Amino acid sequence: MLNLILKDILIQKKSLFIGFVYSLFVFLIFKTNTFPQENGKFIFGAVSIAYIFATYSIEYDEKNNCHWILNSLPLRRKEIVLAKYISLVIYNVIGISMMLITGRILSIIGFNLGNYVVDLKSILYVFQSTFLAFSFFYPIYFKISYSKTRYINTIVYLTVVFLPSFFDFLFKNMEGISNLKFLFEMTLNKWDITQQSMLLAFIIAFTVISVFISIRNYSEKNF
Amino acid sequence: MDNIMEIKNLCKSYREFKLKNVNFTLEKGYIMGFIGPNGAGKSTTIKLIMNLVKKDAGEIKIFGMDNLKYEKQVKEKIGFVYDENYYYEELTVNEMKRIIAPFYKNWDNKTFERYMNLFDLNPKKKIKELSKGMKMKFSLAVALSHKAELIIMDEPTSGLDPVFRSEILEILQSVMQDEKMGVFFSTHITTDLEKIADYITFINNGEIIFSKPKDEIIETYAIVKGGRELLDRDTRKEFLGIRENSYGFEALTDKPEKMKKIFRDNILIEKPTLEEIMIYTVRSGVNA
Repeated sequence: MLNLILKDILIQKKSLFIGFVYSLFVFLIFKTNTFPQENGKFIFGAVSIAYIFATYSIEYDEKNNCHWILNSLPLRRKEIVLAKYISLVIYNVIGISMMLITGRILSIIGFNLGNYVVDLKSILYVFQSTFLAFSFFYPIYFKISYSKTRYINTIVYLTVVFLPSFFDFLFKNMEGISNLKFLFEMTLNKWDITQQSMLLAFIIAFTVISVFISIRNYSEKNF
Repeated sequence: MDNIMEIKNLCKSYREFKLKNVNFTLEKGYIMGFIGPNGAGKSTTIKLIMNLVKKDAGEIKIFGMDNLKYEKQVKEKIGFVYDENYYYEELTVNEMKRIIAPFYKNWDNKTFERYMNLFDLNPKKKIKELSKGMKMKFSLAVALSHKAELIIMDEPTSGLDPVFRSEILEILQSVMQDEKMGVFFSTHITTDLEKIADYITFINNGEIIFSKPKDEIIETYAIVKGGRELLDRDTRKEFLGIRENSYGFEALTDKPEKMKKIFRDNILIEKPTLEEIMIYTVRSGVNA
């Protein structure tokens, strides 16, 4: 399985460059208050870079019809599925590292990036977002070919990334929902261990269910 | 156990195509040609062997092991070459090798390097920059570098020029000197098989027409040539397929001795090529 994960990294050396350019773009184009979360730019950038890596790995497999080769190698289909989920961890680490490194470089050369401290909550937020998005998308992808599901992937990504901004906009413009607004801000910006644990438990459970569905879907797939 | 591949009552249904009770056996040390027209079921059979599609019924045993239950062990021993390149086009030959090699316990880099030199493959070249023939040679080099005991090839020579085809066939012949190996080679270019195959399995419209030693097939079938005046309702029934023109007829039979008795000296009897056997059988729609 480690070979499959390494394979996904090796085939997309280009994504490292794209990710770096993207991190620069995020820091220099977006304003600090574009996103409702504290460290919103960092989270958005890291999630987007992880998304780029995960999506490109799928696209490379599809473009070359590599499922034929992968399924002809001494591998079980469930290993191919599990590798895609485990790779997500690595893509998140790459996304977070790129945003940290680019942010640091920009600070050193004199760019004002505002009040910007990356904490555990931000890092967790990145992992939760990507796992939520891909745990939703992978079972569909492993059932149907990527060319038919590409738009679902984009919609899921946009939803995960921009849903907090949408709610933020909603709460700023609507009266009489202060309790919900409080809850929203709590979830987004305050560190509440019970709430975080519940959210984490939910995403882990969602991911585990997603893995099982993906394995079943891919095992039944005809190429 | 001398059988390296046993297929029993294999079935697969698609909306517009059915593979019906496919049976054949490949023994160690032999090359089996798998022939049939396009759409006959060759690729579907190979996909079923490789578990690229799910069977509806039947049994596939490779080295005596069920191909699904022992999928990893079975695939360790299979080298595959497909009709198209399914490797990552953006990678160089060497990068692709580095990805593939760790999947096999018995990967032998020296053998791979030897084939790279023999095939004149540049390890630094991107796969997308290789010609179709070179891509095929790369696939073959990979297939032969992990001590595979069964080589499965799906139309490896289609779209290749005669020089490339001949080279690939020579390589196959040379690797077959290792008697532990077996080759299953699907093609619609039957002349390739006349050179190298020991057994021929013929599939048409999802059904196996025959699976026999090549020499026995050539002995069994015959091409009969004669004047049209010899053909009537009864004599036509004796042939598996007939082609008529203004000068006479040519027909395929699997009873050459009977033909000699019926037509005596009025006909010419010739040995058929595999292509003729395939064409006449497909045209007649007869499943012998």
